[in-house]
Amino acid sequence: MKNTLEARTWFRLAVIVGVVLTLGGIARHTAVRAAPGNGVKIMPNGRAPDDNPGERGATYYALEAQTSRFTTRFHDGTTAVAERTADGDIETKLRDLGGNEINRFKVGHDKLMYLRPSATPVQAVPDSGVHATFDWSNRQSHRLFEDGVASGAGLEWRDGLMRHTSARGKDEEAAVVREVETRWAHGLSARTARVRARRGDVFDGKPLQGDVLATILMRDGVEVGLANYLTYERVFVWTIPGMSEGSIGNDHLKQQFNGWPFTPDMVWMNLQTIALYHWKETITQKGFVARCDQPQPNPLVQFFVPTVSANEVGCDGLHWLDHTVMRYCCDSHDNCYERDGCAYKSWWMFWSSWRCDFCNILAIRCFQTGAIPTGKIRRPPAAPVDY
Amino acid sequence: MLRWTSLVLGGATFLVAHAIERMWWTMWFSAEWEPFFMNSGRAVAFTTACLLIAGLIAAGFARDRPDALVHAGNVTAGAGAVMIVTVFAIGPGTLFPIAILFGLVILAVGSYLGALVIFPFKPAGGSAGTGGGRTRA
Repeated sequence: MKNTLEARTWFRLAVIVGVVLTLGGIARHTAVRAAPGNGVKIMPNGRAPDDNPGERGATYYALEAQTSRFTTRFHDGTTAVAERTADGDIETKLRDLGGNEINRFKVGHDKLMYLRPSATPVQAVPDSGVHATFDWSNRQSHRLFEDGVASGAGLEWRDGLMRHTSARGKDEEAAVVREVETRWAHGLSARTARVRARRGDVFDGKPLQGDVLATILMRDGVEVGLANYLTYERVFVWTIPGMSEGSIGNDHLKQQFNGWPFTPDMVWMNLQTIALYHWKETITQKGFVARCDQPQPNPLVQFFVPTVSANEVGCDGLHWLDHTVMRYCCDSHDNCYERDGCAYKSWWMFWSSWRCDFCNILAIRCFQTGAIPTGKIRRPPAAPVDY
Repeated sequence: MLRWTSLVLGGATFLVAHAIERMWWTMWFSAEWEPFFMNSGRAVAFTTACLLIAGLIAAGFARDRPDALVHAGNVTAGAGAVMIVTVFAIGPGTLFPIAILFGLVILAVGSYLGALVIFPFKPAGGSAGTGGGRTRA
């Protein structure tokens, strides 16, 4: 009797343990499958991460982080000024045309705060997909004002911005922003405005179409350079006298990125122009990190067997022009040659095909016009007085 | 119109300039590209200076000002011929005809500037090329 009772107890215990273990196993298995963070995402070798239009890369954000003050002037006359506070947060103050404060927007490590005069503050948790930059803070502040947001009710994330559910219309830089100004480290600052192409403005011999993002670069309040982004032609051209000048177009980026991997905007123009100056200055002061010495081939062998010259980056046989506006002509010629399968031996072979000659004619024309005359680079209009 | 002394002087000057550039290329001129005077801004300046001196010397042999210009042209031609050989020896790039044209212009600028330096010390003349190519040298 006692044995039967004991056996029954042991049996029940075993059943309970079995059920618990089975349920535990199922729960664990489900949890492992459900947790998305546990799976390692594999990327094919030699491939860049999938495109994320909102992301500009580590270098961009490292440069952006050195901004001390960022001003956005909007088409409606309001001006947002973002500055970094002592505790590392970003604070934007939005003012109207008369200089009256409309709102403040604070970007903290783990919270966003929207403040309006004589109104209850609105606090929100940042969206993990949003990179909170100075520009974003200014645009968000302006967007909340435009949407007439008075409380936290009815707010939603839309295209990386907090919007009221009833708000319509997209927040596009071209339609909303008139001008941006970046005050950076080392006394550098840049200001970019969107200007219309004027009659007579030409690039590569053709009249300009579309808007021009015109940037002026200053060092300690003195102009040191100019840059333009031609929005229709998709060409970035810059001149920093005595330091660097040149241009980058779709042709230059086709091979590696299949064209521009993003659409340059006014903030990028400021940071890119500042970076060109800063890096060039750093190289001049500190020199290159690595030095590449030419191998010394046997002169006798070199005499009888000349180097098989592959197409070099830049201006082949004219590398002293690599840092001038002529570089654009050389790179366009290289791309044209690569596309049409040309080499130095097919320089002038009109009797078989005109395709290589066409590349050469374009290059000659480009050299004649100097890609883009420096004097044609547009300046942004004079900046209004800040409050 | 042919002035053999100046022609040879031009060629020799370019050769010497190229040899110096080759020897000191990575230290003085450029660490990146093949030693050739148009691959570095400093080398362009150095070669132009060498040609300027050669033009000056060649024009020193001239009878008069027009003859000095002829001598400078011969210096350019001599240097240009050696430059073209050099371009093909180091391997012509895809822009080689444009490079040759640019090179000739640079060499001409150096040679003629050198000849112009000697101008104030030469009579105006006006019979260049009519003397059967004879020079004082």
